[in-house]
Amino acid sequence: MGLVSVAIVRSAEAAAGEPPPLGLAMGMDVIVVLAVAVGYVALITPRSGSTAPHRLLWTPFLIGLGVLAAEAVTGWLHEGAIDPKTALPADLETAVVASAVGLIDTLLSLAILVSLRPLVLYRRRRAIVTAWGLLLVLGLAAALTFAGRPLDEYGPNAMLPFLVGAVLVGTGLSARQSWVSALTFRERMTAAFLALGVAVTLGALIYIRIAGPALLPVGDGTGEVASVPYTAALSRPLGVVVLLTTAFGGLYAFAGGLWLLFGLPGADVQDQRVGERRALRSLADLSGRLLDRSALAAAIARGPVEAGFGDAAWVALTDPPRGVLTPTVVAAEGIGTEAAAAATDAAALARAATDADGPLVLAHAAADHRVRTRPGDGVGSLVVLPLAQDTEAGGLTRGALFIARRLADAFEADDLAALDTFAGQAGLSLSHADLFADALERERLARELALAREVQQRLLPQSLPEVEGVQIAAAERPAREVGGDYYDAVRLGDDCVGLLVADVSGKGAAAAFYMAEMKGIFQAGSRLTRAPGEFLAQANDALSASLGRGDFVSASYAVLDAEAGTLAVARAGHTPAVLVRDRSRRDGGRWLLRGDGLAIGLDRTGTLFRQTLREQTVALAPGDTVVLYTDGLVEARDANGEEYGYDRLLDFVARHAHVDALDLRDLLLAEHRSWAGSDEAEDDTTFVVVRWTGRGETVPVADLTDGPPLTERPAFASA
Amino acid sequence: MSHFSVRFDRLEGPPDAHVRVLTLRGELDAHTAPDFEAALQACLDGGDARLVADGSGLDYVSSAGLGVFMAFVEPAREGGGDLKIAALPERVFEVFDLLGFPTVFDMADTVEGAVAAFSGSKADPPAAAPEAAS
Repeated sequence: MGLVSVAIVRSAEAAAGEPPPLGLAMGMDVIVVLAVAVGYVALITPRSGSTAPHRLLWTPFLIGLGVLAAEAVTGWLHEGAIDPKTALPADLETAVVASAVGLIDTLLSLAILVSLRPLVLYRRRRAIVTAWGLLLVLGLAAALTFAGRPLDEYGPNAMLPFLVGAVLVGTGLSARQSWVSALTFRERMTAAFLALGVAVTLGALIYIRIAGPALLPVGDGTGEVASVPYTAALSRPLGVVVLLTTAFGGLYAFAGGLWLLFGLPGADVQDQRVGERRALRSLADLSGRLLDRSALAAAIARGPVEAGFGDAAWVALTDPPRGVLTPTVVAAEGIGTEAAAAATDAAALARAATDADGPLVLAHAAADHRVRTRPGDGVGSLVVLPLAQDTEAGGLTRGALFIARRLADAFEADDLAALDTFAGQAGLSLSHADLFADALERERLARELALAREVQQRLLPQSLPEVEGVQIAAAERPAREVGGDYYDAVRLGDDCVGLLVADVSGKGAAAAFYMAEMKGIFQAGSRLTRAPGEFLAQANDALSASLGRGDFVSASYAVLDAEAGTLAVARAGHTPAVLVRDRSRRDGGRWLLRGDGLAIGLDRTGTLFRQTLREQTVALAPGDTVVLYTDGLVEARDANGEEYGYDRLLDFVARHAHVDALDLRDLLLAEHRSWAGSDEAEDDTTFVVVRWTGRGETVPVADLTDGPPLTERPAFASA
Repeated sequence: MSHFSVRFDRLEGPPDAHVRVLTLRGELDAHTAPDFEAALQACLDGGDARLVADGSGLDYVSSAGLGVFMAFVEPAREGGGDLKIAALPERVFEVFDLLGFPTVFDMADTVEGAVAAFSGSKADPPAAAPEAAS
């Protein structure tokens, strides 16, 4: 609009043959220059980022060719002239042509600036953005020094510093061709052709404007008025803008073409490559040596910053073994760990990056609701990359790598590709570290288990008591993991035997510790009382003090009185004892002795424990079999995953009710092996077989109408 | 391959007496118990002490898993709430029952029942009446 109105006024002046007043001339020139600046700002569009950068060169190339052709034809067809007296176009026709040429020149200038801008600002750094702005300002300033000057005056001296500055900055910018490194080989060929095409076109344009057919000849050849391009006849500042823009475009494209043809990387590209190599090398080093998680996380955060991919970087990870289930910042570079943690909602961004399955780019980080920093706080743009999404292995570390730049919109597609590779490697290294930690832990456990097994073996009784009328046999089958099974038997007086089977929760050293404690309690406690309930209550009191939070012991304690021919048993949350009476008797049968009772450690005050506990007493008949055992026996699984179960155990013992205790033990052990397979069992298995042969007395047939042949009573009647 | 998950995003009951329901799925053993522990700790840290473990999706529970319930029932009660166990499948209930858990824990047949038990009595005494267990 501004341009068009100025063109009309200029045409009118030319028609009138009168030079305009200075104020009007200056005003019009300023309007023209501002019109160009406004046009530039209006035409800048946000980059989509997906297209290859060299495609941007097509616009100036094609428009340049069109303008070149148009101006060559114009210069050939039209003989314009400047009136030496007024320093105005000699006729209306010249003025109209100058206006037309000025308009298309302006269009070309805008096309050059808008198209080259993304290339110049590629992999933007603060310095480059500043230099580009400086170039534009210097160019405009140089142009504005011409405002209001008639055509017959030379350029003002004031222009010189601006011009020199613009040339220096423009040359400097041309020496940096970062975008070149983003191209594939094929793209480089096209790009080289395009860049040189742009350079040649723009060079030819400058030539024909100054020396070629588009030159406006001066009137009468007096030499009083220097030759000027058509555009300058419209507005001298506009002429300067067009000249500078065209020159910069040509220079930049020429430099780009050279880089492409001769593979000369720009200095910062070289730096970048070195940085990338260093980053990747340091990462390769990592995966070999660094198996410590926190050191590895620190190295992962350092990588992108050292390689120049970002101004700051941080790593947020989960740590399932320590109960950290949401990604938490564990390492940061170029920013404090706490500041990094406060900068974003790391968990939400890590989740989004994992879902995106690739780099999550926040070009304007401050605008994102998951970023908590304010604009200017150092997080202008942010890339989030998922780390170690190894969910199949289960429980492994998960998280994300964050890379921030102070500037908005500062990440290019090839940066992201390199960072993605880096994050992939980093994730792998983390997985290795996790696996290594896992292996260490397993080795530690293995050593601990070996020790625990040794302790367990030493705690088990070396011999079993012998009392007339009773056969006792015991077996234990340790598992891959020592589960804390424990049994013991002790002779109490002449005629009694105390029998304990216990299962301590926990594995390894802790289990061995509780077993040892149980042994001490058994050795001392069994001699203090012959009431099974009393013994278990004492065990609960003693163990509750030392059992860890969440640890417990299940136990069955039986006292066989050979003189009275009775077996009293109490159960502290343990598997119910098996009682089998020979079928040849009328009161024959098989039962599970399941009196109430809490596992030791479930009620540490002991009150509930005592209230709940029941004692069952069996009047033994000759041939009776009692089996105390741990859950490994009934929970053994066959190849199909089926549990052995109580029914099979009862059946098996009943089928072999007539064999010696030792034989029954061996048969049961074989039965267990054939069910669970010969591999090491998942769980310990322990059992004690008691066979009552009797002392020749006759035992009355028990009444089975109320269930098993036993009497039951609360272990603590007063409670 | 053990598989286990804990979710605790469900809030039930009247708004003045929210109850957190933790939904357990899969096998609760020594490998997965830490996940459950972390979830319970997160609830307590968040000020939620009225907790119901929905065990309807549990396939198996080992002694390590049982230990988590034991370790957290007291803190929950001290925090003015409780850790109730609901809707256990029969085979899993058998494991709890054998050890005497129903005496110490409030165990309900359904999640709704467990949640309702919270609104019934504001502060459950730690010692609930022993349930018939044989």
